[in-house]
Amino acid sequence: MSGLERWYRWLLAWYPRDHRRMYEDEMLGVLLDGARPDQRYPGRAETVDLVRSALWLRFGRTRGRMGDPHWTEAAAVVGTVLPVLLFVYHLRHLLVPYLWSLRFGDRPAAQPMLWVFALGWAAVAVTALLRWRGVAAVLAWTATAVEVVALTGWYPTQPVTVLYALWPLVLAVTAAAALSVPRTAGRGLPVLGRRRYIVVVLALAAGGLASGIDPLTIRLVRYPEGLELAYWGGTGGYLPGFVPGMASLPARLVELAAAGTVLVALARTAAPLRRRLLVLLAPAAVLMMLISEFYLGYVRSSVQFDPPVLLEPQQWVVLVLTPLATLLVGVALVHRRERRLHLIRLGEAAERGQLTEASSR
Amino acid sequence: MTEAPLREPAFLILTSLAAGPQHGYAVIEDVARISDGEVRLHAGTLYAVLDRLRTAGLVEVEREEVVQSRLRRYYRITAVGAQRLAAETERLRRHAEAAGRRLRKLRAAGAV
Repeated sequence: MSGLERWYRWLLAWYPRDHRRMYEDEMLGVLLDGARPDQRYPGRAETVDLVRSALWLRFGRTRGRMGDPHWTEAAAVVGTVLPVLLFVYHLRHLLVPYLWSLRFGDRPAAQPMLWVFALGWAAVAVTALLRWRGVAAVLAWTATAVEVVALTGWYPTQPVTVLYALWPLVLAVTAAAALSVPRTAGRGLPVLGRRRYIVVVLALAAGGLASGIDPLTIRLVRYPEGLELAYWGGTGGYLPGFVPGMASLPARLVELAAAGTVLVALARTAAPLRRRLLVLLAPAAVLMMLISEFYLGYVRSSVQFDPPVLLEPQQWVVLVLTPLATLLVGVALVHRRERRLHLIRLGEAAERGQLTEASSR
Repeated sequence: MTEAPLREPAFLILTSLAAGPQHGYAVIEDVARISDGEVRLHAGTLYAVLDRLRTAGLVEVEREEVVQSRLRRYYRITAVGAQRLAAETERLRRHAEAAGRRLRKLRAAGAV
């Protein structure tokens, strides 16, 4: 093997395996045919061309694959449902503390940023439903950018709040990206089905606002030194400044029922759509689990210091890379599984063809 | 739904194959000839575009042979590929004619 051929082989190694299997030998022949007799190294232009094509085939093609009709359908559904979920999520953070403060007789705290978030996502949900996809996408990216700016401002004094706001931020990015996919305008509702959409929206509203049950139903016993809260399913103490976070049994049951309803509704969609919905929602879900499982120690220690302890750079790396890696692995797994199913179907069809041929002889 | 216009390399590769089945290196040479040496395809672009055209059913492998212990494939344009090339040629012709008409008017008005 000549030195030039070795160089070409090294450059061709950048290509995806399936492309190499199909074209490597042929490409090598073309490259060597085009080389000058005394050429020892690949030319600059052909090197750039080979690397650029290899990178496009590795990454650009993945983007192209994401344009298949099932991904478009999944993006349409996500772009219709997630804005509602994000609206309910922000509304919950406005409504529940407001109800608690009313119940305790405190002055409700002004939450202008939370109003901006909630109204922003309400506008996204409505415009997406009205099939104004472009407007909805611009609003969604604006709402996401505003959230990023607000979280950056809060981070030095409230890093734990920011940490817990990261998975909804991933959902916000997912919603904005889904709404940016062309040819999805008005498709979310037909793909999901009007009835299923209504069920999902009602379940999201019920589950998201369930923690408002506590301040409405709780029994308050006032003592000179404070208050005692009597929940359904538990008790707790209240001192000024304490933020009630314990969910009582009825609120928890409503949340579980709502989550179950949403999962069943989405699980009943067609298999290719279901797989893709899972992949698109997995980054936020995995990040939420990661934070609640592995960042608990940080959360507990950070709040004990003033100013609070900030996240280490390596913790940020994990928080940023986990959703990205989850998405890429999910996309690869879906394509691998569907390719396998396709090959199995082809094999079965070929077998049936052989059987028919044998029986007709 | 309207199909996206063919990019120049794809258009020229289809044009080259419209003359008859050819192997990769011959396509590179032919494209250089068709474009008066303006477009010189490299192997990376050629096989990325051929792969796309093959997947879209616009070209197919006609035959394979082994030359100097290396695989050589001959590609040919399919009926769908010929239709697509014809549609693209017509689109480009319409645009070129419109541009020509307006340039003639511009020259007649003495603006250029």
